[in-house]
Amino acid sequence: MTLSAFFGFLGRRLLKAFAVVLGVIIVAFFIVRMAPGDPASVIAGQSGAADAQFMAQLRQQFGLDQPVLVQLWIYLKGIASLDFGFSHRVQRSVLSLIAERLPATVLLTSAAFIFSLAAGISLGAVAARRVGTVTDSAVTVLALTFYATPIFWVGLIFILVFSVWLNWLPALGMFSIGQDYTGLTAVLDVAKHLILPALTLGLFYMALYARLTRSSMLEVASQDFVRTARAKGLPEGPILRRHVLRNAILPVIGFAGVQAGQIVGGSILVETVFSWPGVGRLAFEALLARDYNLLLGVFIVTSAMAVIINLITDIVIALVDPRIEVEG
Amino acid sequence: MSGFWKRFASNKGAVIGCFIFAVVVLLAIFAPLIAPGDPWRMAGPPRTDAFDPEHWMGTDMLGRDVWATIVHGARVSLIVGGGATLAALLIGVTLGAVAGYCGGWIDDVLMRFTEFFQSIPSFILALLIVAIFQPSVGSIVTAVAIVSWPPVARVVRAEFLSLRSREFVQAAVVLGQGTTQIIFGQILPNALSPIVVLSSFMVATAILLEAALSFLGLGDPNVMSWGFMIGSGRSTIRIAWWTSVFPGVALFLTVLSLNLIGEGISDALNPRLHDRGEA
Amino acid sequence: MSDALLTVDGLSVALPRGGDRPHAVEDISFTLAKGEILCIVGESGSGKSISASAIMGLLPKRLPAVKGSITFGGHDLLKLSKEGMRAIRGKDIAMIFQEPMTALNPIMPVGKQIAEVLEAHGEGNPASRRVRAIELLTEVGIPSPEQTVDAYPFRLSGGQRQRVMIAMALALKPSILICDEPTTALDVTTQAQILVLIRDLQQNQGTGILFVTHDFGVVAEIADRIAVMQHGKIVELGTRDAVLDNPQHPYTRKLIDAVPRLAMRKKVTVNTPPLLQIDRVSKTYWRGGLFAKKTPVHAVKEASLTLARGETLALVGESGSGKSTLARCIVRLIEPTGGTIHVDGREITGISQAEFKPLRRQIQMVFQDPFASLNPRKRVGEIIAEGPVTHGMARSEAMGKAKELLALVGLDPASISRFPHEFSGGQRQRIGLARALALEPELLIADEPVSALDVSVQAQVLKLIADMKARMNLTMLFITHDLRVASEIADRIAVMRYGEIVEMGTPMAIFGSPQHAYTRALIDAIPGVGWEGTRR
Repeated sequence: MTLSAFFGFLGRRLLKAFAVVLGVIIVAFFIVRMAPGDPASVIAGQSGAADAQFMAQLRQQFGLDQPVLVQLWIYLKGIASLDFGFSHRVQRSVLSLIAERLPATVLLTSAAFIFSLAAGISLGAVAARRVGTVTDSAVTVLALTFYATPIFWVGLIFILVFSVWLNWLPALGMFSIGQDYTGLTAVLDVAKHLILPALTLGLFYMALYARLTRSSMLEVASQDFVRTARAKGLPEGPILRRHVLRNAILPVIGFAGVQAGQIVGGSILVETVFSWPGVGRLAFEALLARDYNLLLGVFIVTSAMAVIINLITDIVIALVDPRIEVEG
Repeated sequence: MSGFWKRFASNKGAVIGCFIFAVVVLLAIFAPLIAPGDPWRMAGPPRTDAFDPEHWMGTDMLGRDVWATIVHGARVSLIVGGGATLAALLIGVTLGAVAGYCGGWIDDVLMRFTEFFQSIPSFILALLIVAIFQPSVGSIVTAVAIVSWPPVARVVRAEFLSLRSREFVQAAVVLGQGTTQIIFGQILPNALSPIVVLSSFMVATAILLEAALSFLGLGDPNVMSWGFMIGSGRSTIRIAWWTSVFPGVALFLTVLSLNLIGEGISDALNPRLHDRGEA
Repeated sequence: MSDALLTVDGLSVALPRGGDRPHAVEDISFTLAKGEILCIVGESGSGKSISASAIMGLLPKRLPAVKGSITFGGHDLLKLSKEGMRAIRGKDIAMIFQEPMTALNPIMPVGKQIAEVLEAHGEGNPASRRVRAIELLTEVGIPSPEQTVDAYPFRLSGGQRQRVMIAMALALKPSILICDEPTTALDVTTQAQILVLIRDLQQNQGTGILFVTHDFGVVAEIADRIAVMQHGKIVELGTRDAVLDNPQHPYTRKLIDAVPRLAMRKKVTVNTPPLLQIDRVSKTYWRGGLFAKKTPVHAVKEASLTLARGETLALVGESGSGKSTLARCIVRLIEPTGGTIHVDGREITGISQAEFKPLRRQIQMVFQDPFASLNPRKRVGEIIAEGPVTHGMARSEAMGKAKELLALVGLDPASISRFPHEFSGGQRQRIGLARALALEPELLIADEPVSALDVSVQAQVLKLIADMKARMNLTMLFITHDLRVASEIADRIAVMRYGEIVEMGTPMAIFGSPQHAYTRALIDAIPGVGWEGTRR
């Protein structure tokens, strides 16, 4: 792809990403508007903790005495200046709460995303290469199993097996408490804590991508250009790697990019199970406390995160697939 | 269609799936007979071990019989699974059909809208909807439907788009048939198979979503749910594993059975795809 | 023969159980000499492509070669190890395929794909392979090979892609080239160029060429010897002249007779008022979406023509010429962006669909693809009766009519309760014709109605269409890419290119003294045009 074509593509894609985030904010706004009762009391929650001053502040944040569209405009302006409002419960701004928790979630979801793609594509490729054999059946059963298992339950079972019974890996949190590790030991400590949550979050999607890769490989393998490669006298290895696999994984990566939002959403469950100090766990805490302002903030920020992951996968595909630039 | 049923019945996974799913449906229908009484009540001493003669799946910290909660929990799973799928089909088929049939800018707009819903963290959106509208079966069905229609819309749109340009549809236009006649008489019957396959996977996903919501405490407080039991047993997993493990197994088997059925239908509808690998 | 490069002896390829016959290919024998072109010709399902795949060792697992031998360079290819066969493929025996659009890897530059052949057989280094790829692209007549070597396939036209395939096949100067319908997917002018290229090759390099095709025109153009296949067997094998001019086997005779002749008929002067008047009709599309730049595509540019009552006009053009778009404008499957269309003196452009509905009875259409033109979920009776029912006829009466029409198009009236998939391609085209005739139209638009059919079936359907036309006094607009078919059926021919009608006239005028350069090019490109003079 030429450089100018690439920037053209990037520009269009960024515009689209921006539109999605804008849409998310509008959806968030209307959910609150459509809720029964005064939006301010919805936001403040039913915990009864809301005082008059906070309610007034909320009414001002949402411009509740104005027409709906003006309210939307006020809300959008607020978000644009990174003002996500105030969490009454912890007496801090929503933005600072989320910012503090974001790195942990980025770490967890990217680890899970990369693991699910790498493992899923490998398993699917192996199954497709040995289609009809025991290996293929084993992969199929594995994929069916993890595709049918609720991730929060997998997390619990992992804790039960690997932490409680086998005592191999830590069950909760991101760091060992009371140990002030530094440098490499600290990294290894986090990595050890990361294994179970990342596996839990990634296995479901691994199953999904394995199935997709397998069927995509089989489909590509039946296409004419693979026959051409064979007619050239190319050995099976290069045929599989250069012609089949490279073509087959493009739609899988594309799908994974679109699905990134689901992995980010799933982090709520996993972070809750493993007490991982990320945004998902924050959302659960907000839920328990009926702190909806915080929940809205989490929704918008995690959406933006999903959009960014999607953007990255699209760029990767555009770099590999020459046809993208014409399709736009 | 006898060929379809023959192929479906010769698929071991699909038959096992049908069997498991039938058991779940029977449990849900006859719940009051199989496990009489309120599943929420204290049925025995708290934390009775599993495989106890009285309570073969044990009891939880509050003495609730785990087996009874599984039997009654099947109900909400099936109601939400079925209800949300129907609602999502209604939204998805309508939007997909309009986008695919009209094409042009309408298609563009509707597909951007669909992509939007597909790329945002839909679970958090569902959570938000249920939380703000108060947890109830109704709000859960609504939330699950709102986040599960995009795949339907995409599939239906793709089918409509390809069928619309098929020559038999053009022939119908040339004969003078009207738009509704063409959509319902010519296109929709040919687009049904992928919708049927997708529905069975959607019921499975909807059941998982309901369980996840209940697990986080957003279940309907009036009905027993598997997700709720897994969540309530979470903190005591070290001392009473059975309260979380058995409802999880029930959930797993139900979802698995639906996936197996869906795959069975898909393979039976497209026999060629299935043995493509043999070439 | 002592100079035989390749000897196929008693080869049989099994079909999986449950097929319509036990063997895909049964006991076939032939030889291929250095520098000769042997054409294997046959209709679909005759086993001609499978024979070619067998030689390449590219048979699918479910179609094993069960008997016979294929001798090349002193080895029986059927007994060679996988690795042994791989070493021969691409180096000594190369192959090109039917579909140039899908035969190249979409995400690999074409130069790399050519270089892969060299790499697979251990030739040169990356730099030298690239140089060789550019040489090869030059040899096969690709414009600006230095740039094209790095281009991706989607940038190239079908003809260019087929040239790339040929370059790839030539890379190691194989002694045998197998061509499996290499020009079937191409336009006729492109086909002519590719045939010349293959001819040159054979003459310059002495390559032995096995050319698989269904098209007797192509055979007449290119063959030295011909093998005719039917139901997996070779029914006739001989030199070009012997087989074409003096066929021995009845099946060969039937196939050759079925090839439409380039008749130089003069128009029977029709002095009737015009039924269809098309006046400067245009259709412009806009490509691009919400987030992309929009560019106009002129599918039809100010096309004008008039059809007299009872006349047949053939609209001829290559793919993308706009002929189908123009036809679809007449039935308002597509709304034209400019110009007017009058049917029977009434303007049909710009009126609402409701106003147009009663007029639809007068204008009916027959489609190209026998597998896509009938709703697979409806019974045949329903498909035919649908039109009359839509226009207010009682169902039972319409069903009775469907039965009559089935008989009329040569099908069993009892088949009204069967589904389309139970019929062959030719039978489905008959059903499609019955559906159109059910409304007793005055104007019939036939969009490539025979181009998806085998030549013998094509002849039958063409004859049926001509019969029906005479019987029901139809006026017909017949769209085709095939000048032979056009000359056989039409009173007048209109030639389209890039959305414009460049020439119109009687077959006599078009073939006798074509005025437009493009018309001349089209006529010159008709495969086997030289054969016409000697045809019986």
